[in-house]
Amino acid sequence: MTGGRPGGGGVAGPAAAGGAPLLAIRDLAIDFGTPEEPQPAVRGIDLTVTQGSTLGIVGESGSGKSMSMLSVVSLLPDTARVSGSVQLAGREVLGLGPRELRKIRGSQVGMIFQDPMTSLNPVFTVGDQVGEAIRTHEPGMSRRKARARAIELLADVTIPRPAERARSYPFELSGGMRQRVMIAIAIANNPALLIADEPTTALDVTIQAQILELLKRLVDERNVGLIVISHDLGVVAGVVDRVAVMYGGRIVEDAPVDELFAAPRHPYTRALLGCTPRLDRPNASLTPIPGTPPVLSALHGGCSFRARCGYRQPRCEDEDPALQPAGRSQAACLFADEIGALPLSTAAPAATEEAAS
Amino acid sequence: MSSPATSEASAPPPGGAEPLLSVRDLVKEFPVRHSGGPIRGRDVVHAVSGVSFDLYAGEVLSLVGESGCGKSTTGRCILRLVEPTSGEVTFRGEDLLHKRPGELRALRRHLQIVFQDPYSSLHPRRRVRDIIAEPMIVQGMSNRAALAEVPRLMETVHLDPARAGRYPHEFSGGQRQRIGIARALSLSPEILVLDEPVSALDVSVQAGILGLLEDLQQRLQIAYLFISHNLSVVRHLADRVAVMYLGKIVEIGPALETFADPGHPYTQALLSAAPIPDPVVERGRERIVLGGEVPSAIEPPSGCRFRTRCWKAAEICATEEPALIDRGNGHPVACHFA
Repeated sequence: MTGGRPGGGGVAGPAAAGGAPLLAIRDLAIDFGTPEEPQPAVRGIDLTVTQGSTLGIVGESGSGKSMSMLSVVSLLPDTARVSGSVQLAGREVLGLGPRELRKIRGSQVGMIFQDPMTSLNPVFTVGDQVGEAIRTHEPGMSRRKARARAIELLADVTIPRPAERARSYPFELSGGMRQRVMIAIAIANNPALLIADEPTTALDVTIQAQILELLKRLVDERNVGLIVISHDLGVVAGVVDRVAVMYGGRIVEDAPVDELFAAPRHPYTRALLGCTPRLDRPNASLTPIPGTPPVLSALHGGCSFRARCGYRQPRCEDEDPALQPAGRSQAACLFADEIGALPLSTAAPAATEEAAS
Repeated sequence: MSSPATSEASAPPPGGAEPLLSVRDLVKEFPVRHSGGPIRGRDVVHAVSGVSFDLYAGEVLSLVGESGCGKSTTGRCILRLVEPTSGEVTFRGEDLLHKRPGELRALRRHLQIVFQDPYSSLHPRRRVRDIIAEPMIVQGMSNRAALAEVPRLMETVHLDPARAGRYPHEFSGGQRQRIGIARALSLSPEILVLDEPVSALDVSVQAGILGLLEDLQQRLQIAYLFISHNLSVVRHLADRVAVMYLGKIVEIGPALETFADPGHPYTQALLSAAPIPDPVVERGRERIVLGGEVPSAIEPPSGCRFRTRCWKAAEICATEEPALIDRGNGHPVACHFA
């Protein structure tokens, strides 16, 4: 089965004509410190997702990929200080009160998290939990009707014998089934946008394949926007139209999926591809990325990737490039065009600091 | 990390050579305690159900499979970190399973293990030098002599010996995994059991550890039993692979051959499900998406254990367990239709 969708190419850029984009993030910054002692986690990102388009957000631990998406549904810890703008269908969500947020969560945005065991309530049946999600937004609906609708949803996410399964508790279900229940809850109120945060990371590879197929089908059938957050370039490659690569709390490259993999324009993207083992290229040597990700509170100007970058130049010490157009992509590198033109097989010049990782 | 031009097609087990390690009919059953529910006789989890393989000197054999297939339990049974229910494990012809603790300890210097989680597998309140020296002290070396070895071992895994006095929490995940490797190497083992050694690490760090393992293997000629769920990683490192499903090996053979031409439907499905970081390749792939899930290991299916999810399953699969034999694939496959 192929992942290609007819006309699914949501290219980076402004919304399609007619109406606001599903999601528009502008200059979003998240900080866990105090004004005197900042502890930045996300340092100014811009993202747009239009209807029916799919976006992958890729990065390693601590890159800020999950934090930036939690801000969309205001699920960040209370200690987070958030600035910038997050608009859902043209409406600002930062600063909304709890009542308004509850209206948005589920009805405009559905969230799918990594660990379906801790995201589901252990003491209610999964049918009750899907039903509750429906009734939260349609308080007038009877329990009986909500239950019937819940069973339909469970069937839609391909849970076998849904009527029977609706009476199960989360612990009675496997990880893959629990993740399906999470997806049923996420789509219960027909949100226009689904955000899946590492949806398959806790699952085995054959179950992962099932869940990814399911997500692709939902995008096709329901024409929803989908954001998949993942550390795995392989997962993203098969599912999304466009990829944003995060590093050090910023987006360092934002590109159509084919472009990102064929001509990565940021050295970090290139480095990530160079260290990921590929099933179809067993003999390619893997190049680890030397050093460790930056401590964001200790960054003082310059490019945040420079210490680990094999292409760094003296200018990189002083200039911290913003995301700028480079071909069909956008990249935050002073040398994006040159780097995009390099053949993929070129290994980066070694920037080795021994044993940092 | 440099990877010298080793012939990747190398090392199907050298014909005449004696295996370093032989595992025969290894079985591990864990008793199940039912809390609350009705007592249903003596249920057991069939974690490992008759696994046999040989490991030869200097080769990398990978046990690959999904959670619950018994790959880690197999590794632990070999070292007797978990006592096997039955079966036979011999190292250089010496039976490991019926050794008394003292004798076992003497043999264990030849078989060491690196664990998945570099956070829980190092004692948080011991200094790195003591962690690395401990196996040597357990084996009877004096403290002084053991500690004298530490700088060399740290250099072997590319850690700065000046940091020997630090505690594990002062190191990154990748560095901690290097500490675990240094500890395992301290006794110059002939066999290293690597239990998902890179699964807890980010890819950029994972590549460094894989490179180190590759490098060590070539330099020191240690045999690896490399346990992993990640086919891309296995493909990169292994000379031979044994694919496990629900407590059994379903296919075993040279990595090159098995990955290029998998004989067992499960191996085929597993390979086709592994994502490849290339959108063009991904779109062009014929993906086998297996239905259903791994059945309970308490009541595994009769006959072939994979039959409940197999698109080739026929009557014979329920009645007759397919033996793991060469069926014309050039390597053993446990499928009636291979």
